[in-house]
Amino acid sequence: MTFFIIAVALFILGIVASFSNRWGYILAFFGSLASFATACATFSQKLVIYNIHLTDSIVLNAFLDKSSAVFLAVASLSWAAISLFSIDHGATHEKSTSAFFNIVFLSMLIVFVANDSITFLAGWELMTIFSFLLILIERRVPFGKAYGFLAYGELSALSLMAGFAYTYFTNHTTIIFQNNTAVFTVFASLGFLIKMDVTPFHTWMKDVYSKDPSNTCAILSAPMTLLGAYGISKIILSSSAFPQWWAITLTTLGAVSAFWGALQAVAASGVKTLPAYSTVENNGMILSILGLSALTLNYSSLNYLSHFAFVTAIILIAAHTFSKTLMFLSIGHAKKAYKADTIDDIRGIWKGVGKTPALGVLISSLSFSAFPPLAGYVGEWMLLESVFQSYKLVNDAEKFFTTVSGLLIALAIGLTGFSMVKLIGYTALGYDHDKKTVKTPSFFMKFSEIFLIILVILTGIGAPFIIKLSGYSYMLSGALSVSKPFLILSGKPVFGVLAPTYFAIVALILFIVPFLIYLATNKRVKKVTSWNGGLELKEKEYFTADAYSYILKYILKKVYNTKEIKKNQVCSVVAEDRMEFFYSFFRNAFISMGNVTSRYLMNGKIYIYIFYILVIFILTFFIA
Amino acid sequence: MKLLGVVQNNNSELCIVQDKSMNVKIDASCKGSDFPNYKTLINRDSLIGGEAVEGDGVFNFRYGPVTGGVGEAGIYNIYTYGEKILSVNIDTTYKKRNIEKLMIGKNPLESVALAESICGNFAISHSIAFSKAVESISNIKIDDETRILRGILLELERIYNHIYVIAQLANGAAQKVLSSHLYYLFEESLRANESFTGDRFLTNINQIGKLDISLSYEKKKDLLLRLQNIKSRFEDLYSGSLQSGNFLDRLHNTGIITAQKAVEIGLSGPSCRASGIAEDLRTNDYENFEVISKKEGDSLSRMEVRAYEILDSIKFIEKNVENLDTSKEKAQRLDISDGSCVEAVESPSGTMAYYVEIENSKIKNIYVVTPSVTGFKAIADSLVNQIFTDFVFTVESFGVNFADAAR
Repeated sequence: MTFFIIAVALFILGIVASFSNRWGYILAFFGSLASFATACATFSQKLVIYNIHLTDSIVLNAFLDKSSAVFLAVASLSWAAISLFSIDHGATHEKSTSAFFNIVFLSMLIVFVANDSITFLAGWELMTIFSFLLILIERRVPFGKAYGFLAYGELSALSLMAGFAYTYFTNHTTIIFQNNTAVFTVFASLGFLIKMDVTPFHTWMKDVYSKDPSNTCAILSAPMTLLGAYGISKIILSSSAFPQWWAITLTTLGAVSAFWGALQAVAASGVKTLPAYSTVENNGMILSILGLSALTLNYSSLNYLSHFAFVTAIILIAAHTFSKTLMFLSIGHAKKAYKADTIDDIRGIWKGVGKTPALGVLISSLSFSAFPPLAGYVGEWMLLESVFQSYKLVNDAEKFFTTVSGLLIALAIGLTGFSMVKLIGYTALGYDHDKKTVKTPSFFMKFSEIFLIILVILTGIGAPFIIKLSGYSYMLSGALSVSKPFLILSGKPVFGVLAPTYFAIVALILFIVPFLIYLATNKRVKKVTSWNGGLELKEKEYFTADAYSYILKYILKKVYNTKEIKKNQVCSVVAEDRMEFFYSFFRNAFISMGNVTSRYLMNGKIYIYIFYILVIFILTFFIA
Repeated sequence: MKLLGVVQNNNSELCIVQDKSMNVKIDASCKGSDFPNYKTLINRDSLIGGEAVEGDGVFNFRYGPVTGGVGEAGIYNIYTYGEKILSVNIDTTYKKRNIEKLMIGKNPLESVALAESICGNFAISHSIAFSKAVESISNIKIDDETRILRGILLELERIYNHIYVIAQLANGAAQKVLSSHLYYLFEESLRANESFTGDRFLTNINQIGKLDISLSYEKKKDLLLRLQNIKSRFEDLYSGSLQSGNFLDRLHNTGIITAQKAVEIGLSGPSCRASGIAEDLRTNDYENFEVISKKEGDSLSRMEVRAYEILDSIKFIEKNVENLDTSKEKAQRLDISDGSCVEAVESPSGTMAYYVEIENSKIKNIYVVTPSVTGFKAIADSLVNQIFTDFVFTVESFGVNFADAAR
């Protein structure tokens, strides 16, 4: 409880200290550490924060149990890294954003502990509104574009309200995540998946992420989407059964989202658009595996698979949160130095900006590319192992949709490798063309990046420990020369096994140590200017990131709606995200509805107002 | 009328044109800028082809000057946003040797070797075109046997060049068996040249007013035997190649040059004839000559035209070589007169013309029209909207040389 109070106090102090951006971020950092300490303390004992009975049915209840603590621990480490990074990164910002950071972190903390609909919605709405203001505060994102975030945020809140209201009317209590009804499950999980930014609720991201500061993007992409996954996890954990059709929908929608996000990431040329779509892809995978966990929840014979799918989601969430935070922060570091926005313009981070941000991009991208033994590798191995076991399902429809989902996820993983090679090849390890970089204070930025690099590596290597900590130690074993509990078992009887810790040890002995010895001893490396065809490469002769992706845009022109624009001697290729159609459709529908309302109802004629009020009154009377 | 070249003469421009009767001449009444290929010809010593393209993601995929896929030193500046070619311009200047300038001030008799050195595989075409110009100025009459033998030498040059182009196309399409056999025939044709003339690339044979060659019955018989062998093998290979859908797919509809485009560019030779324009300077020189042409204008058509021309060239040599008698010594005074003239020959890749001005028995001004200049322009234009994979099939099908264009 002490750590929780300290965390809340530090976040509040951070809000008060907003006159100094630097102090605001420092307090947010310590608040995040206190939140992490709260989570750690909860692993041994459940933390009850309050339980207030306002009436028989209206109860305010907040506590943190072991399952929620896992999510809070992951999120709070991300907050800490973002806050630390922002001490340097935010120093040059015109507007004071630290207060918003503290409010958003505090509201997320409230969501993690909330167990009643009132506290939950208060935290949820605070988070949404202040995130929206955070997007707007630096005035980089036009209001119309930022509005997309708010629209989906409020749609999410509306869906949650519907679910919570139904629970209140059926269970006569404000306590949530107990005796879940099918209606609550559908509405609440819909609200949560919207917050996960899965397809088609992701369309706002491209415009917002490309303009917003990287630390804000990191919040929106990593810990905030984590909350969506957390919400669905809470529903699964508190349910003994799950509507089958809805579980299939979640699995399939997640897989489609993973595939769609990966496909769009391949086509992306903006240095922050690519990670944005990577978020769609990763959260799609998380949603899909949570759907599978929910689906198998209904079969007692598939209990192990259900739990394994759930723990897979936890590993994927941790991998995504740490890797994505690292990716956005490292890119933000480079972006600040280069003052540029596209992958092509942020080349050669290693030489131009520094080894730490380059390593940050490299490690995070490798993690997303499922490079062993990083966090993403373990998560994606577990994901595929779970989906491969879909043959165990009884129902043909379940088998069909999970198999199709598996195919889409496998394709998504392949495409992610393609897009991450682009990101690594151009930004982290590309040629810097001797570009001038802006020198800014970077101690805290580097510190934060190193911290996250270590987390990404440790999450992969230490995956068995995370599984144990989450309460699934029976999924760990030992076999052959791998001692217990370092072997992860994907099924019982044994289906597949993985020992990431041992893999890391073997890789260290066979590859990394010899490589380091080589680097330490072999200093005679001749460096020459890169050339092609006998001549030094000029700036305009480098293979561009767009060109790298063009072949896919060309082959899949129907999917991307690829348009080649040629005007005089200026050419470019435009690829669309066709899912924007949904948002545009609803936006236009609402605008049209607004126009109709203003013309026929709110047209200044008093008798129409009276008539309208009477009709609504009568309708409300009868419905109530 | 086709513009072949623009000669700078005392601050004025003289146009070298080819009229409808296939006569190449200087036309003082013509204004160069009226022709669509004027800009290409004026800028032939800088960049040939399209303009640079800019835009998001667009870059110059520079191919050359020293790279595996380009046989000579030259650059293909390919503007692209990946895979699709947006514009191409070609830099031939790495092969620039200023041979025309080197010829100025020299006696025409000693300049033949310089003309031959412009492009090794078009050596005899350059040599004969230059000689014809000097002979016309000096009113040097060529006997029939020399004229026919020059024709035979031009056809020998055409045979090995055409075989090489088809071999390169087969190689580009990974038709390794076909290309290996064709490279063998290419080598065989060079050996035939050597056994017949003493030089694989037919250099040091042609001189002003005469040919430095002695032909024996055995040599002629050997040539005919070798050509028979080449012909039968080539026919066999060629008919086989037309059965390979994989090979034809890569050439069909690749690098298309329409008839209208060919005229605008001022294209000549097999590439022009493959676009449906039945133009060949040999019509005026050879009896009963039938021009081979195709309509499609793609790489496949260009290959087909070259394939049929190989067989026609062999037929021409077979018909004329037996009756040649070069045993008689022909004493001829070679007095070089002053004046100017333009003469042309049909080289393996198109019209090769020399405009020569002589003053005090020395070359005062010279302008060389080479088929590779317009050939490169055609390459650049036909590559637009193609994908990288089509590059090799397009470029090789035109059979042009950087050395020939750069001089």
